[in-house]
Amino acid sequence: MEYLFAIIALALPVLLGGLWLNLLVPQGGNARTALVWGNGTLLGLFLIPQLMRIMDAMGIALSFGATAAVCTVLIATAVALQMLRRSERASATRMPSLAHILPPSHRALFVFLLGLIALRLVTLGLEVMWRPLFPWDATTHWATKAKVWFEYRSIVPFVAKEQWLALGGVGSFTDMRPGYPPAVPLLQVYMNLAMGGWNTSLMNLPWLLCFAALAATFFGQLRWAGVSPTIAMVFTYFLISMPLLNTHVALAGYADLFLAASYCAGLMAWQGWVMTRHRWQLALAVFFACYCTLIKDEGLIWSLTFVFAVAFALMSRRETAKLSLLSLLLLILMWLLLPKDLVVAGHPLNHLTPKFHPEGVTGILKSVWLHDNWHLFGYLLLVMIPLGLVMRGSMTRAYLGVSGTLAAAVAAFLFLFLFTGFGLAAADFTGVGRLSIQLAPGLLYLCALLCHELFTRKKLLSPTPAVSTTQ
Amino acid sequence: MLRITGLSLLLGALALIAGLAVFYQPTAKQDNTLPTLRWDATRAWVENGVGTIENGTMAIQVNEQGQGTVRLTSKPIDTQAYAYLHISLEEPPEKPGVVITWTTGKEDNKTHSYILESESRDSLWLSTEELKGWQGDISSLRLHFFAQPGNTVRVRDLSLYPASTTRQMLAIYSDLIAYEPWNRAAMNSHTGVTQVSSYYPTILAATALVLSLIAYGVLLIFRSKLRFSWQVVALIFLACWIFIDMTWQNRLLHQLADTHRTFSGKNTPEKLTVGPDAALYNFVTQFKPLIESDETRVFIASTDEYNGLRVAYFLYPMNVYWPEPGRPFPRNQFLKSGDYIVLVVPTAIEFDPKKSKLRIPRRAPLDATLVYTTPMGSLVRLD
Repeated sequence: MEYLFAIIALALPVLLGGLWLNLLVPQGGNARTALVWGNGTLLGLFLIPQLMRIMDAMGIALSFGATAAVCTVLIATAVALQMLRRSERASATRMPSLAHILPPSHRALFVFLLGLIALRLVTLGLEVMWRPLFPWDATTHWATKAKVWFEYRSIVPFVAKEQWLALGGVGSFTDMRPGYPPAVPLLQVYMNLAMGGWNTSLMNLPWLLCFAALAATFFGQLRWAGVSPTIAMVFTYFLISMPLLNTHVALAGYADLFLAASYCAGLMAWQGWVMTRHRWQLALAVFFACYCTLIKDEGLIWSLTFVFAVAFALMSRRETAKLSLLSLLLLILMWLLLPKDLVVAGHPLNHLTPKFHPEGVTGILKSVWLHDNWHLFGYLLLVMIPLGLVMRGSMTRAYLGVSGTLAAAVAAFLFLFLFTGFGLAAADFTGVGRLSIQLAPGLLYLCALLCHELFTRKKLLSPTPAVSTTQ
Repeated sequence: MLRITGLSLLLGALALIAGLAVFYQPTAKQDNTLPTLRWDATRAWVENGVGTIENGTMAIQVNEQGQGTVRLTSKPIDTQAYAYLHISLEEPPEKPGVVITWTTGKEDNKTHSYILESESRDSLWLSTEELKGWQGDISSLRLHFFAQPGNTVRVRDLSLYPASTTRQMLAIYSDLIAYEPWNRAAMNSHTGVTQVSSYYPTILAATALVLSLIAYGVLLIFRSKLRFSWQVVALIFLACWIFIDMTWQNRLLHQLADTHRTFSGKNTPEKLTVGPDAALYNFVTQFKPLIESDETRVFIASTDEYNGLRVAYFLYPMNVYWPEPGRPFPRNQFLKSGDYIVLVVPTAIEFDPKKSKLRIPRRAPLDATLVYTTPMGSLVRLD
C-alpha cells in the first residue's frame, strides 16, 4: 500500500507540470515528449512544496488530501483545456520517429546508450527504495525539518540557536541550518503524508524523479536546439553517468541535485528562447532561474548569473561589458560599505573577504581532473571550451547568453574557493564537489551545443550556421 | 568509421599497457627466479578463533568476540622481492573486516597494518609498493578477521609474487573493480581509488584517450585514403567514458547487492536497527519513550559531533537542541526544570549519581535525576 501511495504521490507532480506544459508547448518539434514531460516533472516537483507553503500560510494543515485535491483540480483543468484544443492537435504535423531519422549504426548506439541510462536509473532507484536516509547534512538540517513539519502538520519555524534559547524553545525548533529554504524538506513531508507514515527510504524518491526529469529535459532541450538525436543521447548518457550526481540520488537527502536541475533547466530554457523566441521557453527560464533561490542559499548567486543572459539578449556586447564592469565595481563598493556581519546567501560578509587561498587550487584541480567525480568531464571541458572560443561566433554569438551566464557562475565558484575562507572546503573536498554538482549539468549542456556546432560546421572558422527553429 | 575507431582504441590500449609495463613497473626487484610465497594450511597458525582445513583451504571461524587471527609462518621475507600480494577469500554475505599486519625489522619489530578497503576479495591483487611500511624484512605476517561471532572465512589463497607485467595488469584490474560501501565522504567526493590503488581511473582513462587519439593521428598519416573525422574523435572519447563508467556501474551493482541484503523487505524501524547507525538508533529508542512529553526540550551533550548529531536526528520531532561544534553548552540560566539532557559519550558533562547533580565544566552543578543510562550514554532530567 505504501508503494501505491508513493507512486500516486510521484505521479501528481508529473501530471501537474506535464499536462500544463503540454498546453503551452506547440505541437511538433524535436523530442517534444521528452521536453514537455521532463520540464513538466521538474515544474511539478518545484510547485508542490510552494503549494504546501501557501496552504500552510492560509492556516490549512499540511495533508496529502488537501495538496492532492488542489493538484487534481489543476490537472483536471489542464485536461479539460487539452480536450478543447484537441482539434488543433489533430491537425499538427507529426514529427518523423527516430527510427526513420537515424541510420542503423546511430540507432544501435542510441539504443545501447538508452539501455545504459535505464540500467543506471534502475540501479539508483532500487538503492533509494531500500536504503534509509544516510548522508550527513540530510540528518543535520534537511530531514530534521521534514520530521518536525510532518509530525506537526505545519511549517513550524526553525530559528537560530541563540534565538531558540532566548525564546525558551517555545513554538520554535532549531537545527544546524535553520534558515535554509523549506522546499526540499517539504517534498519529504509530502511523500510521507501520502504514505501515511514516516518512511525513511521512499520519501527520497523525488530525488530519482528529479534526476530522470533532468535527463529528459536535457535530451529534449538539446533536440529542440537542433542537436542530432545521437549527440543528444550521448550527452544525456554523460549526464546520467556522472558519479557524484549518481551519489546524490542514491544517497538522497541533499538539495544540490534539485539546485543543479533548476539551474540547468533555466539555462536550457533560456537558450531555447534565444533560439526560437517561444514565450513558454522564456517563462520556463524565468521560473527555473528564480526557483534556484527557493532551494538553497547559494541559489541566489546562480539566479543572479542570469543577469548576464538577460544583458546579452537585450544589449550589445560592448554595453554588456560595461554593465559587467559596473556590476563588479558595485560589488566591491557593497563589500566596502555594507556591515561585515550582514548575511548574504547564507554567509556573513566577513566570510567572503578576498584573500588568496592556494590550497583551493589543488582541491579544485583534484576534484575535477583527478578524482572520478565527473568521469572525463573535466577533460571534455579542456577540449570543448578552447574549441568553442576558436569556432567563430559560437560562444561569442550563438550561445553567448549561456556562455556568459556560465562564465559568471564559474567565476563566482572560483572566487568562493580561491579567495574566501571556503578554500578549505576545496582542499578537503567537503564543498567543491557539491558546488560543482550545481554547475556541471549546465556546463555539459554548453559542451553538447559546442559539439553539435563542431559537427555541423565544415570548417572551424566558418561563420555560425543558421540556428534551426522549430516554430 | 567504426573500424578505424576500434583500431585506434586497440592501439591506444596497447600503448597504455606497454607504457605502464616499461615506465611504471614497481621498483621492487625483477627476479623471475624467485619462487612465489604461498601459504597453505600447513604454514598457518590460528591465534584467534577456530581453524580447520576444508579441501586444502584454511577455514577460520571467528571467536565469541568476533575476531579471528591467522599468523603466517615463513622465513624473513625481503619486501623488495615481492611486489604483489594476492588474496582470495570466501566470506559470509555480511562481509567481515579484514586487516593485514606485518612486522618489519629485526630489532625494533615495528608492526604495520592495512585495513583491506575493497570488498571485492574473490581474487584481489595488491601492489605492495602502495602499502605503507612495506619495507625491509618482514619477520611475521598476520591476517585478522572481524565478523559476526561464529562466522567462517575461508582463505583460498594468500600469496606473495615478484614483479611481472601480468601481475601489474591484474593489480590495476583489482584497483578498478575495487568496491567500498558508501561512507560519509561519498557525498563530497568520489576519488575512484583506495589507499593502495596504483593509479586514478580518470588518469588511466584520459591517458588511454590521448594515446588512442595519437594512434588515430598516426593512422591518418600512414593511410592516405583516410580523412580526419570529428566523429571518430567523439567515438573514441565515448568509448573511454564508457570504460570508466563501467567500473562505476560495477561498484554501484556491488553496493546494490549489499543494500538489498541489509535493508530489503524491512520497514523503517527495522532498517534503522540494522543500518550504519544502529547502535545510536537503538540507544535512542530505549530512552525516547521515557521522555514525558514530545514538546519537552531535549539538549544533547557530546564532544563527538557525529554521535551527538545522529542522536539529535533520531530524537526529532522532539524539540532538540545541539550546541554548534566548538560552542559551549547553554548557560544555566537557559536551562529549566523538566528539561532533558542526553549525555552521549564522549562528553565533558557528568552526572553525579550520589549527589544527583549534573556537572557542567566551569558551571554551578544542577539538580537532576538520572532517567536512563547505558555505556553509550545517559538521559538526565533537570529538577
